Amino acid sequence: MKKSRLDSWSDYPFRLTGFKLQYLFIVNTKFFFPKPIFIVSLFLIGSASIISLQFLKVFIPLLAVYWYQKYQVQKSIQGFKFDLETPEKSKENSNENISFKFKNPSNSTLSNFLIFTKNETNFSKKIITNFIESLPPNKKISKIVSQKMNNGMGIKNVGPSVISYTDGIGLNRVLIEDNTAKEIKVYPLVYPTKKPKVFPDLASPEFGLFDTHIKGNNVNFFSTREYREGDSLNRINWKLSLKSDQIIVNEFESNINASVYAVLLDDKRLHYGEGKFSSLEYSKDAILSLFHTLSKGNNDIGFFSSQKFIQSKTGQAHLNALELFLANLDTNTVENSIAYTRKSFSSHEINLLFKKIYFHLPKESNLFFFCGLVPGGVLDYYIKQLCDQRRRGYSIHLVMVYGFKNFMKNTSSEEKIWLSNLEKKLDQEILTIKEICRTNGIKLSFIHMDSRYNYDYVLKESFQIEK
Amino acid sequence: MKNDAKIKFFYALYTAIAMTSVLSIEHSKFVAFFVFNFIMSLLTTHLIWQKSDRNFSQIYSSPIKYSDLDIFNNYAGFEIQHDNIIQSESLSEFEYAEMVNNNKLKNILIKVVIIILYVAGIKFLLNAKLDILARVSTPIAFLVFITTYRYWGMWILGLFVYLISFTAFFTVKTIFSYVIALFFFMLFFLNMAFLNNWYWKRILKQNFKFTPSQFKSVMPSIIIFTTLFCLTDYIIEDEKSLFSKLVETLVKPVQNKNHGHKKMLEFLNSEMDSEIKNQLQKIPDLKLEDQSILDQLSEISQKMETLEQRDFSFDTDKEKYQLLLDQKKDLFKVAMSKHNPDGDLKLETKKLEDLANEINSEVNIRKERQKELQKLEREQIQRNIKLKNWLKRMAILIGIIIIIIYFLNQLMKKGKILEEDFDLTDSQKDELNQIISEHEPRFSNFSDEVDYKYKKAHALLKVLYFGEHSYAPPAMVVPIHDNLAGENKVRILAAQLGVVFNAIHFSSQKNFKTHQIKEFRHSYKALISIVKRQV
Repeated sequence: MKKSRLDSWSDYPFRLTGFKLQYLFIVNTKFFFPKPIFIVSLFLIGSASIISLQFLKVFIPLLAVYWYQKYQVQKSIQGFKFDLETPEKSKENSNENISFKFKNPSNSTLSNFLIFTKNETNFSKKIITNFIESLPPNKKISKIVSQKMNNGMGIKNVGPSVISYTDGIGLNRVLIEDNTAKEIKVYPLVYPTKKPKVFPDLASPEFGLFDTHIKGNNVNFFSTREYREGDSLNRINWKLSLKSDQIIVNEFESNINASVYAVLLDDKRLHYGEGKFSSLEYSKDAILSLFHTLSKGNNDIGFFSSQKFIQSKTGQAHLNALELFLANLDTNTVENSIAYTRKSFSSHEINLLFKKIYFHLPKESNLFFFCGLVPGGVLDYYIKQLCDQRRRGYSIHLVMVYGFKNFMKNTSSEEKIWLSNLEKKLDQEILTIKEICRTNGIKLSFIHMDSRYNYDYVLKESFQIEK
Repeated sequence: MKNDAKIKFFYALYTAIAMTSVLSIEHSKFVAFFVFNFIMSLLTTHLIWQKSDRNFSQIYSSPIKYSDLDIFNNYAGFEIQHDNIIQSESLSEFEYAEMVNNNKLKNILIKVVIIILYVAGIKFLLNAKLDILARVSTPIAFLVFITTYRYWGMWILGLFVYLISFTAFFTVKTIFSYVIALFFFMLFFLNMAFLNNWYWKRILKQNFKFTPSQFKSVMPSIIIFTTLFCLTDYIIEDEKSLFSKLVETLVKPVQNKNHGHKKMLEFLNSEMDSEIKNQLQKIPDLKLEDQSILDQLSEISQKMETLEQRDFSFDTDKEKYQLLLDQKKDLFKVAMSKHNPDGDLKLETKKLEDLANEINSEVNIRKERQKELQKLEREQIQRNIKLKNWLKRMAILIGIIIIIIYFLNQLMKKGKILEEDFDLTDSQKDELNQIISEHEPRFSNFSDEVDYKYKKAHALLKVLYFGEHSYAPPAMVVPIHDNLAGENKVRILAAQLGVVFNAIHFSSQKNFKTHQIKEFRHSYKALISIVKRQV
């Protein structure tokens, strides 16, 4: 929706309260207000013309100029057109071209176009600012702005935008608010990885270390069990269910090698960095490359996070759905305050997450946990919970992302201090985590993001188990 | 920052004219005072500009304010409610204390130095009298006012202060002053545009640049101002107005074409002078009493010379000249009569008298001729007055015609543009061609005709406004559709077609009046012709 209006008296800050000379709106103009002063001076000259007719010589032409400019600007508001065009982009692109299109329907030149547009694809510069000298009458103009793109994958919005322009001499200003936003689809880029070791699915008749070539659901009956959330209604065994009080489902033999769940710990306290250069973005990349490599070998792949649970399935369509969901995933703010401002935290949310995992995910599945390496109490608590989960019988692989120097590129100064403090604790933290994982039988691998290494190489080696 | 020098120059020029207008001196001195004022104002603007520019960049330097939504929601005084986001504090709430200049002594010193420089310059460089020095206080006040410019808005305020002072003090009498006044107001509009442009650019941290488009955007307001200024001037002061003065200067050379009478008078004077010299040489000893007469004679000849130099520009000049000539003759007679008793000179006096008589007779003849000439002159003056009036009327007519043409041109443009609204691709043009070239069948009744024509119009609209894959709304909806907001002839015509179509199909109206049918056919034809022009 577009709202456009001409400036009025209410737009100018009158500062007559608490009278000070510099508070008078005219004297206190840090901003540019020619219109009220113009009207005041017109009034003065007009009233002086009562005394002598000489002043009319100036008053009438000035009044005419004022009316003319106002008329032209008011006309221009009616048919003024503004449009945004955004491209579809891949993540590897570093620049995006956004084109702004304007049309001036009035018969006079409009000048001093100031455009502010909200842009989600850039973290450091959230607003695109743009200036156009003048728009000649009855013409269309398109201007292409090349913008650096340092935000991650997903659907990003460009807009809403605010435009202001003036008449030829800058007397009247027009403000246009455009609420509409255009989408930029930033496609993810998947890098190949070495295939990690996974435990085979015991329910499958033809399981092994090699990939099976059979696809589709098996006909062989395996067993019955109680109905769980997410089960298909077609599989309900009605006869058995009527006999007992519970709803009972048939289970068939599966044709898959292994079922794998990627669990993203999307707690905001476990991630840092912004946009492209954040631990969340890197762990998303790692998850995607894991999915791609495992889906080739007829494995069931599923996703779990505190915000969404997607059951494990095979097939290209499922993979595409996972990609789409992952691309738009953002961190979950459990608590409002960020980790470095809090000393204590509530463990309730974390406990709930692991209870859900225990309830939903089958025990024979392989769990890949992804998070950023943020030394502190929160991470320690998460690892403690992981150890408990291991004891319940899951096979767990923990993947941690770090690389403070790389992430510090776009962060604020406040966060930089925090990150540099964390970096000092890093070595000790890594040692303790390694020890805990070794004693509890958790596979551990680190993704170290560093500008020295090639990104392809880092992701290729990302699931190498640390010793 | 280098480009700002041009703004400073224009601003200083503007203030300098305002300052000299307060002094209101004669034209000869106006230029000298103007140059002096210009130099002074240029100096002060250059000094103060840097300070206000620094303050301006300080207001917008804060990176948080700039990158965050604050500036988006609330910038440059505008308060925007966007997506119902609650606004943050207004930008104008910036701490005033931050901006206050701590060095008060320096400020005062600058002011004092400027005052001293100005007064000394006026006193010693221009050798002005004391009464001018008394009047100098207002220009000094202007200069001191410039030194108080701390914020950007002050520069704009200054523009208006000078505007009001100029209109209050400056009196337009001669063509020169009219030119200055018009130049001043032109500078006012130009300065407005430049300062405005500077402000909006500096908000985005861009540098100011001069472009021809800036001049173009100011031109309409300058044209309107000058034409209306001249017209109101003519209405208020009929004979003293700029028009009549311009007409007088144009007519003057026609008036001076009649040199006959003037030349005759000059010839008489020169002849008399030579004769007097001859006679005086013959007189052996001139007494002291005669000296006074000689002095008087020389005085008279001097006066005549001044009249000659003036080219008899006033009507009374000729009469004065003739009177002086007569006086000269009388004085000469008196001088000669004093020498009359000496017998030796009798013969010469006789000769002289004869000569005087001759001259008298000649003068009489010429006087008669002169009367005839005066008659002719009167007729010519009357003709000139007629010409003057005619010229004035012409000038006013031309002025009005210019304004009317300007506005008409603007109005005429509008119709053209609304039709030339589309940027069509080749495939679109082909599609349109196909639809238009389709053979029109015979219609058994009006409702069939409406059906066919409406569908055709709808297909055209779809090609014009929507792509292949998008859905086109019914023609009735087109004018109020979001994508197609705004005035356009095509949309209006489509709406007219849609109304009839709806009347047939939804309110089952069967009988239409002839004017309704005519209107429908006409609007269909107009729509097709517009589309044909595009193809």
